[in-house]
Amino acid sequence: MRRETLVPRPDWPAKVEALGLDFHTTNGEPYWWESACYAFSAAEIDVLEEATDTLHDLCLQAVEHVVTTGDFAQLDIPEAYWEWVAASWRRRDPAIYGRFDLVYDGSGPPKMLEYNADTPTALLEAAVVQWYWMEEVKPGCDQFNSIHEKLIAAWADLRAQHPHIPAIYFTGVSDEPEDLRTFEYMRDVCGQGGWQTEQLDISQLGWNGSCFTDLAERRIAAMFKLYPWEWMLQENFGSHLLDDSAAFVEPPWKMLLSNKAILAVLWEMFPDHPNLLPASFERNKIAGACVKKPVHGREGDGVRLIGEADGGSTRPGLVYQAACPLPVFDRMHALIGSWVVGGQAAGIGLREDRNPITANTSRFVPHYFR
Amino acid sequence: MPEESGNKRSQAVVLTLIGLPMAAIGIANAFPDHLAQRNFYTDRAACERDYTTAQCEQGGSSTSSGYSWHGPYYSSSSASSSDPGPGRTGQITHTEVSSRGGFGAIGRGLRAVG
Repeated sequence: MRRETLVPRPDWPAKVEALGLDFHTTNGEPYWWESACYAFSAAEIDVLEEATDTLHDLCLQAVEHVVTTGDFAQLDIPEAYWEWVAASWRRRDPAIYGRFDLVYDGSGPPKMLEYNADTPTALLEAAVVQWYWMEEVKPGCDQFNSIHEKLIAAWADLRAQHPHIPAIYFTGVSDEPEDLRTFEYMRDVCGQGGWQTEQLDISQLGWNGSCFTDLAERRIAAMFKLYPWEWMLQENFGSHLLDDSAAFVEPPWKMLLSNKAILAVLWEMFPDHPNLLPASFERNKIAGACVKKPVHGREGDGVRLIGEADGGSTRPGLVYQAACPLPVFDRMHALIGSWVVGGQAAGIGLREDRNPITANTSRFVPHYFR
Repeated sequence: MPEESGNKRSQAVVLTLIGLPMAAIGIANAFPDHLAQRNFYTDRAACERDYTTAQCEQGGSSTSSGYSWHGPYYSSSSASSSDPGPGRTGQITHTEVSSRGGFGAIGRGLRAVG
């Protein structure tokens, strides 16, 4: 694994905008960064693919464990929703996608930092924009990226299983460009998978006393929501989720995996697993430096590095994970986002930052392998 | 390396919606709190005392509660002027209220993806 410096395509803004990436620059700084790329060997890609499949399998076992033991309290999920989440898992409500954040430098096993299993970001960049970049800039090379065609296949499978559902509604915060483009892209591949689709802002969802409705007051039978479960549970319509029968993508059980508490559950179930880092709800159970994470944190928000001598807090809602610094290439800390689509490893996208903690401003950098 | 079927990348990436200007798709703005309502009746004849035949429909979300026919939705805030029916005859068994704006409050101003 190495970082290559490149001369960006002179017309790259127009090219990525044509693919829907109109949020390529934030506060004057490019978010899409093609002045560099990451290069892998085929063997390194195989390692990432295998680790991703393995981790996804471990995570499903962890969900089964939480549901079986009923130990939802440590995940900071309101008790009123415990049975609702458990029922979603028992039914095996279908899931489409998720993204692991991995630490990997080309040597040793990749280590899981977290699983963005509910509302993962950087989907369009990974599935589409870097694919077109490689076609033009690195022709003849390969890329670990079958995200697009696996998404279409996953939606098509779902269509075959549920032919009676008339349409899937796509919703999220539509005045946030990245969110809008992400759920529009998902709507695009869903349509290519054979579904009729509709779209509305999440604030436009209606409740008529017994079901969620669209703007024409039609019942919504199935919904893709780019809006975190933990927020939905707190909002005015949250309690209606318990009374409604709509199918959601991602399903309620995914909130167990997007929750950082799952890191401690995984380590307790699979201690010393090569793809996991030590994690606990108690600081003193993690030797050395560690990272404190809020269980509901998003995009590095609230994440703090804690030194070896620093004690933790007994405050609930926190998880401590052994520190595992991101590898540094040309002074940039590189994080691998490894996608799972339809239950399979589907590809990667890289973010890099001068800061050791990846944030929503961290650049997206394309990759290739040969 | 020549392209071949064993590659780990999508063979083709075709978009049908994305890439359009946002205005072409239509961005929904935050929807204000909004209430609409419709009236339910025990049978069709009761409904048609308040509405036209075309305005009365069978079923709806309250069917399981025994209210099998209903009229169209109208605004709760201006019920007297927006109700398309000619007036009440006292046969309404249930009024169903539909509200909006119950999700999205936390997400506005914060990013939803992570």
